[in-house]
Amino acid sequence: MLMASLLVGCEINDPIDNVVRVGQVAPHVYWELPSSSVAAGSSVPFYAQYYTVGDAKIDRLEVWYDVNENIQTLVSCPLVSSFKYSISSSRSKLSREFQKIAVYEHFENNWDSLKKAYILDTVFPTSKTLRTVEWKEVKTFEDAKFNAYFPAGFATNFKDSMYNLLNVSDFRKIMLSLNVMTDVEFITYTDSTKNENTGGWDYFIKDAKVPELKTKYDAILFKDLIYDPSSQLYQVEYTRLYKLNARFKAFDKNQVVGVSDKKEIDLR
Amino acid sequence: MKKQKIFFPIVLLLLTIISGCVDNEPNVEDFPNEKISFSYAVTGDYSLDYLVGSVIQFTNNSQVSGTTTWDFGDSTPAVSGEENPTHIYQVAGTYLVKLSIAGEGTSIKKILISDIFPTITVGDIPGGLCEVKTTSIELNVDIPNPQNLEIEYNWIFPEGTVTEDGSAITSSTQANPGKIKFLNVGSQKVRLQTKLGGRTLEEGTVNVQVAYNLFVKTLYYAVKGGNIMAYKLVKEVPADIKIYPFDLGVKSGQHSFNLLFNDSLLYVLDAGKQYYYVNDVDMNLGDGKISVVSRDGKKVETMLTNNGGYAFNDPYYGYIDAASRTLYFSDRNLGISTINLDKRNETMDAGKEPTDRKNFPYWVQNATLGYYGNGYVFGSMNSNFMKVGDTWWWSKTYAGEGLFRFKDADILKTPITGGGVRPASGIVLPNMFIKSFVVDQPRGFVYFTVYNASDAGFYKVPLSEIASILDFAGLRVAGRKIVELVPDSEGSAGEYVSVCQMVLDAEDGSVYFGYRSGDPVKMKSGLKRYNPTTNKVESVIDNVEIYGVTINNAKSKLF
Repeated sequence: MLMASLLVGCEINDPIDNVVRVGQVAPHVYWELPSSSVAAGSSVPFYAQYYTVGDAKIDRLEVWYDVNENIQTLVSCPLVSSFKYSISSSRSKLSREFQKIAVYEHFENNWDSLKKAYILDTVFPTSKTLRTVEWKEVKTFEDAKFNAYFPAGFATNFKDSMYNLLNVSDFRKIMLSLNVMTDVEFITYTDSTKNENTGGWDYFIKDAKVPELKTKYDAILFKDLIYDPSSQLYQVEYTRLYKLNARFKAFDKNQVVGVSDKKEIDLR
Repeated sequence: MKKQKIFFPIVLLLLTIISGCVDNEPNVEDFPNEKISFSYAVTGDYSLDYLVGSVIQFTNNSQVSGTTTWDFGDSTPAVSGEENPTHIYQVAGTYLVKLSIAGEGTSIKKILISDIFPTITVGDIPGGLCEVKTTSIELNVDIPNPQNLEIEYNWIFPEGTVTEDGSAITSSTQANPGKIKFLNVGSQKVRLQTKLGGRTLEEGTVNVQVAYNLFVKTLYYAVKGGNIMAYKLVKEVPADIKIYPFDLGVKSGQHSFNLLFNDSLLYVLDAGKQYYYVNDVDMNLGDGKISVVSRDGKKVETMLTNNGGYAFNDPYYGYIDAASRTLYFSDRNLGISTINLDKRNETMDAGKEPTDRKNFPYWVQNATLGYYGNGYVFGSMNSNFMKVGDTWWWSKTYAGEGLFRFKDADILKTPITGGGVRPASGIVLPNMFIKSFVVDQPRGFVYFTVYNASDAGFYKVPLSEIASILDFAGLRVAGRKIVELVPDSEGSAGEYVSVCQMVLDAEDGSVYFGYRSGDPVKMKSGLKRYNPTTNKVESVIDNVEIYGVTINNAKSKLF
C-alpha cells in the first residue's frame, strides 16, 4: 500500500516518468580504461562497446565527467620532545559539475561482428590545470606560498594551540634551539618542587614569569617553529589533487541514452 | 475509541509539521527545484581549462519559466532577467552558482576556476636523452593569456645548471633563457615564477630527467606519502657529478610495502589505508591495489584492485616468477594468491567470506601447510616471501614467528585444522620478527632485519648456518649483526611496518633497503646500502622515508 502510494504519479509529479521512458530501451554500453592514473593535460585512452536492441540507430557517443578536488596539509613542530605536535587535514569536495567533455561521431563500420557490438577505441581529454600541486620538502620557506595554500590565521592558531601543550622541557628546547635565550636565562623562568613519589624534581614555569615567556614565544616566527635543523627542511606539506568521475554515454536517434558505470581517474 | 487514539496523534503530528513562525519559513524561491537546471561551458580557447579570465557561458535549461536571477558566487552583483548570461571570474577557486526563477525555486552548481600557470616543456632532444654534462636542452613555456596581458618571467634553475658555454646559471628573467646543460643526474627541477598583468601566478615547474653517461642499473623506491622514485646505481660516482633521484611523478599510494620489477615494468603492491587489524564486519574497507608502472613513470595501469572488498585481502607482499609470468601476492594474514603478469583491471571480489576469494583463490594458505597448529596458528601475520631454488621462504611476524620454508609439493590440497606434518624444509630464525629478508644464493648469505627490541638490527648470516640459529643467543654470535637499527613504530604489534623490503644487487652482492628511523641520532631515515666490500651499512639518500624497493637489472643511462 505504502509502495503503491509512493509510486502514484500525476501530471506535475511523475517519479517514474522523470527517470525513464516506458517502452524505450536504452543503448547498451560497456567501457574499460587501461589506466586509472594519467598526467593532467594528457588524454585518457578508453575502449567502449555499445549496441542497441531496438529499431533506433545510434546517434552519437559522449564522455562526461565531474572534477573532485582533494587537499591534504600537514604541519608539524620538530622542536618539541615530550610529544609530537602536528596539524593535518584532508578535504575532498566536488569542484566542477558532471558535464559533457567529448562527443564522438558514430559510424556503422564501428561494428565488430565477433563481439556483436560497435567498438570505439579512442581517448578523451583532461586539462593540465588539474595537475597535482605539491609543496613538500621545503628548503626555503616562502610566505607567498604558505599564504596561498593555508587559511588566514593558521599560523597563529598553530602556535597558540601548541603553546597550551608545552611543558618545561619543550619550552627549554624551543627557546634554546632558536637562540631566544641561554640555558642560564631559561633557568630563571623555572622553579621546581620535590616529587615525593618519584624522589625527583618536578619543574614548572614560575607564575610571575609566564607572561614574559609568552611574549618571547609569541615573538618566535611560525616558520622557525616548524624548521627541522637535522633534515634542514621546514615541516610543512601541501598537496592538491584532482580526481575525475567519468561515464560513457551512447545516444540513439530518439535521444534515449545508455550510460556506463563510473570510472575514477586520478590526475597527476 | 481506537480510531480516536490513532487520529489524535496524527493531527498533532501534522500540526507540528505545518506550524511554524514566519521567520523560519524560507522563501519559496530558495527551495531547490529539480525542474530548474543550467549548464556552463567556456567559450573560445582553453575550453577544458576554466581559467581565470575565461568567458563562461551559462545556459538555462529549466523546464519552468519566469524571471531569472543568476548569482555567480564570487561576490559580484547578481544578474536578473538574463536567460543565458556570460561571466568572467577574476580569482581562482570553487564557486557556487545559483540560478533562481521567480516563484519556482533554485538550482545550485559548483564551478572550479583554475588559475593560469606556466606550463614548461623540454624541447626536442636529439636522441631523446638529456645526458649529464653533455646534452643542451631548450625549455618551452606556454602561458594561457585569454586577456592578452603583459607577462614577466623569473626562471630558477637547480644547482649544477650551466649555459651552453659552461657558465653557471641560477636564474633568468628572459622569456627564453636559452640552451642549458646539467652537471647532475636525476630529476632537475626547473621553476618558473611569472606575473601576468602584474599578478603573481602559481609557479610552473618541470623535472628534466637527466641521464647518467654510462649504463648502470636503476633502483626504484616508494616514498611514504610521496612518489615513486628512481635512482641510478653508480658505485663509483665521479667527483664532478652528483647523483640525485628521479621523480617519476607517480604516487606511491597508501602503503606500498613491496615494489617488484620485471621486464620493463614496475609492479607496485599497495596494501591500502587500513593495513593492520580492523573489525571489517561489512567486508568493505579494502582499498589496496596492484599498479603497473612503466619504467619511466609515463604510463600507469591497474592490475588488480580491492576497492570496497575485505580490508585484509589487500595485496601486501609479492614475488615474481618471470619464467611462468606469475606474480604471487599475499594478503594480510591468511595466504598467498597468484595473478598472471599480463592481467589488467582485475578485481578481488572476495565473496561472502574472507576466504572465498572467488577471482583469486589462495595458492597457499596458512592452513594448507603442515605448520598449521604446528609452528603457527590461524591468522599468522604475513610478511615478505621469496623462492630460493625450489624452496619458498615465507616470513611470519605474529602467532608463530620466523621464516617458514616449504616446497610446492608441501602445499596440501585441502585446509587442515592442525595435526599436520611440518614440511622438511623447516623453520629458520624461529620466534623472531623478521619483516624483510633476502637470500644471496650464489654467495651463500642470508640478509635480514630483526625488529625485536634488544636485538633489532640488520644481520648477515651464511646460508649454511641459518638453520642452526634456534634462538636469540644464536643470533648474537659475533659478526652476524652488521648494524643496530631502531625502526620507527609505525603499525602495531605483530605488524610493524619496519624495513618492509630488501633487494639484492646480485652483481656485486649489495643489499638495499628503506629505513624509517625511530632514532635519527643513531641513524637517519633514508635509502641504505649494505656494502659487501666494507661489510657496513651506508647511507645512499638521507632524510627520506621509504617503503618498498626494487631494482631494474637492465643497465641504462636513464631508465
